[in-house]
Amino acid sequence: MALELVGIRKNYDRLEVLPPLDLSIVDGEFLTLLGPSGSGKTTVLRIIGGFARPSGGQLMFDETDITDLPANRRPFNTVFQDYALFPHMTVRDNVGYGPLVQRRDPARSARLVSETLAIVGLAAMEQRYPSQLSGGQRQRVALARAIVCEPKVILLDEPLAALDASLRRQMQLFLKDIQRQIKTTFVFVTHDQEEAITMSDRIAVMNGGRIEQLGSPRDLYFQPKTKFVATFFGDNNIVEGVLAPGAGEVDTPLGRLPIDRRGMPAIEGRCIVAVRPERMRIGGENGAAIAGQVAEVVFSGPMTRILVAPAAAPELRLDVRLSSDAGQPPPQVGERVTVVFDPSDAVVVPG
Amino acid sequence: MTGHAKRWLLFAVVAALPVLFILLPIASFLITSFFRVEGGVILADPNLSNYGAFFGNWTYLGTFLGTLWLCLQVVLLSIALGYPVAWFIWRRSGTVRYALLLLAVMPLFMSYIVKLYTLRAMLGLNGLLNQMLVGIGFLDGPSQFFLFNQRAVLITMTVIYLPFVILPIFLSLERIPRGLLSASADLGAGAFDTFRRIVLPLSLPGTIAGGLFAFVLALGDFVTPQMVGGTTGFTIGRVIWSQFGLAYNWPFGSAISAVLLAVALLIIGLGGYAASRRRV
Amino acid sequence: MSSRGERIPEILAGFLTVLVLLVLYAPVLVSALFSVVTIQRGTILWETFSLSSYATLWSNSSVLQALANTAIVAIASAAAALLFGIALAFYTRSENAIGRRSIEVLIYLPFLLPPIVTGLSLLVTTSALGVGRGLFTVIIGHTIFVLAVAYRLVSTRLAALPPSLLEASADLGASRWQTLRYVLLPHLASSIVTGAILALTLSFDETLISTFVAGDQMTLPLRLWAMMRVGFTPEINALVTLVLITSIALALLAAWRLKPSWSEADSSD
Ligand SMILES: Nc1ncnc2c1ncn2[C@@H]1O[C@H](COP(=O)(O)OP(=O)(O)OP(=O)(O)O)[C@@H](O)[C@H]1O
Ligand SMILES: [Mg+2]
Repeated sequence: MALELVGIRKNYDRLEVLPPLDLSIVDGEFLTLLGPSGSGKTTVLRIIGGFARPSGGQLMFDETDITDLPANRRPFNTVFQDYALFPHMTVRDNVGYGPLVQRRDPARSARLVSETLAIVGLAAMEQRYPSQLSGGQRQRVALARAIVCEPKVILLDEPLAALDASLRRQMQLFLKDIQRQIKTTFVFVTHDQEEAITMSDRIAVMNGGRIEQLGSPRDLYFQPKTKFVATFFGDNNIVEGVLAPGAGEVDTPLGRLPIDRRGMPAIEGRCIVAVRPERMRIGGENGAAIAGQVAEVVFSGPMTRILVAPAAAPELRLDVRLSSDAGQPPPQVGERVTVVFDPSDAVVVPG
Repeated sequence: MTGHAKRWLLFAVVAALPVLFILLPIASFLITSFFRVEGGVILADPNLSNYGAFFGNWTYLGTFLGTLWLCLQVVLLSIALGYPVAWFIWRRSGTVRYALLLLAVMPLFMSYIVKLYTLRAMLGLNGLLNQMLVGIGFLDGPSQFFLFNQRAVLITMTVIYLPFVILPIFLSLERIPRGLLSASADLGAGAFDTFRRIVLPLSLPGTIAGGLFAFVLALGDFVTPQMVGGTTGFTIGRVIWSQFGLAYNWPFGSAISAVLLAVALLIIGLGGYAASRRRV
Repeated sequence: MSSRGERIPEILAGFLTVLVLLVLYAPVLVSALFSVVTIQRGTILWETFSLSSYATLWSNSSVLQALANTAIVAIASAAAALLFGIALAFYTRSENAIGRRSIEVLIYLPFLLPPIVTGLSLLVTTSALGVGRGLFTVIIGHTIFVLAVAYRLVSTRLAALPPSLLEASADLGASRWQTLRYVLLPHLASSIVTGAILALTLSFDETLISTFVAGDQMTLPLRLWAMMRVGFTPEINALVTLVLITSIALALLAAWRLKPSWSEADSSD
């Protein structure tokens, strides 16, 4: 275990921003803190970085307590959301700042800085000032500055938020690639779930200062444990219902839906059934079937989205995704159809 | 009328005020500096004799250089005192910070002549400063050390122009994004390194601007030396003032002012250059 | 989250700050005290407390005249500077206005140069043109001195106005005059008020230019200066205190108008 948060709390005056929170970050992993605005992601990151003092709890690194260690003596470096590049220093001086103030050997540092600039592809721009760089280039300087000191953990607070969509995807791959090369632990903050899925080894979904669920992107996607995760994480068909103890069916406004209880925690009473749109089909045999009428058909490239109004509850919409080149033409608006899914694809969480 | 002519007409109308009331006066005193006085009458007889008299006479040139040195001392003293004050205020937060800033800046608006008057009273033989120093046993008796000499001019000008230095320094500190300080600490810099390598360089333009402002103001100040300078606290401002008063030699006064103007412009230009070199 | 390394410098700087503020305010406090009590050999004689020096001020006609002059000059020059400042700001607003930069430099010049230069250049000019010196020339001197402030405030505010707002107004059918009346002036109102307060404050205190161009007229600072050459009297102290109270009030007003947003939004941990 490399980095461990034990019962970390944070209050601003009366306001409790983080209730006691536990989190273990494994050596060399890419861990993402994902959550809506105000859920406490930045706060956690600032506490790890040493920029905010926790109101309680302990921060352990390699079995030593570093809760009271000031930021400048922690072996962690941060890529700030607004990059925080020093405007009066060249790219090279920015990157060389860490080794300089840490009094590292100058000759070795110079070599290290050059190598790092080469890794991030900025060797040709080392004499420029931050104001002479594009957004993506500044981003790389910030990254180079953070990795040049060979920290044990790199903290990144929404580092891609300021970039446009295509540059953003490019930088996602780039970051992931760098992380593979230097094999350092990355703690990454974002509120973009797609970004989190693409990049992370593990994701901690945060809500109201709490970690709702911690797991691999696959786990979170296919086995959400809470309603929040089920709704926040990707598109989902969600319907509320009641589950009798031990029963294999849920009573919902859509009728009785069969579910597969194997591998599921013991739940009873009010619950929520969630089925991914791409796990639903139009027509077909075996499985849960819901009758309805096609309300809308939306072509979106590889997939075609079909919104179905169930006969039992016409105010709801079932979201079904079909492959656009499935061979047969998609159903027409107004057509009566049956939506079918496999009970083992239905996830039930407490409601 | 063509659009072109219209634009020039508009320019002529708009520029009339600054040209008439700012440019013309400066031009006319510059022209006067080439005239001469004979028998109490100004003669429009262009020559360089005023400048010759100024640069050729050590009394004047020496006073001028002495004044420059005095102003430099005022600036250095103001920065030495003002920078820590601005830094301290900057490090505070919330209401305390605003209140302190207000306190530090408000003397800017307080009557200049009144400050002179009370400072003269405080620095004098029976003044507060002497009484305090005698009171704590630092001096045996009241001393003439603090009034009617060059030192008095230095002290008084520093007190008067200090807020002009504190404000720009504070503003330039204020413009440093807090994130840069976090980033510096994050990269392993201690408080001193962060100050020396980040805070100080980024607040330098404001410090220079404040210093130059104080310099130019002190340079032309003729009332302060007259009030507290006595016979030894003679500055070029007083020389100019006397040329427009008792000495009645406007052309010569204009010539000295022209030199003063050149120095002031040079300094303002340097300040502008220093400030523009900042890259953000 | 100040670390140990900053504690000691901070304490030292704090001491210095207190000291500097004491020195800056000592003149104010001392003169206020002198105006109501007598001080002998370092002891304050409280039993001499009296406001009589304030009362005698009211019967001093030369002081009252100077006060009236100062008020006239301050109001007239503030109004003139604002009027011209607004006009000039509108002109320099357009990128391709002829002589934009030069006009700006001219406007700022009297504020940047030593006041002695501004004063004597006006003196030389008025004398060459045969214009008599008096309140009118003082008003001109103060106007060009505070013009820089008025112009700066208005033009900054004007620059913050999105051009689309004017286009929207025109698009909605407003005439140029209506746009000025309903869009531009309300937008500029706050900067105009602030500019007026600052201009009044500066003019109220202006001494160096005034001495050159006042002729035989007296403004308050000039009157004070003249009185001081004579000697120290409780009456002067009373006047000094009144002047200080007025300028502090004006300064507070200006500070309150200029209060920047950082004093409210401030992170603290
Ligand atoms: N200095 C502060 N004083 C008071 N409350 C604060 C402070 N900083 C943060 N908070 C509160 O703490 C909560 C968590 O803030 P935090 O910045 O950690 O959220 P976040 O998850 O990073 O949000 P975002 O995605 O918008 O960046 C918010 O409700 C915020 O209002
Ligand atoms: Mg955040």
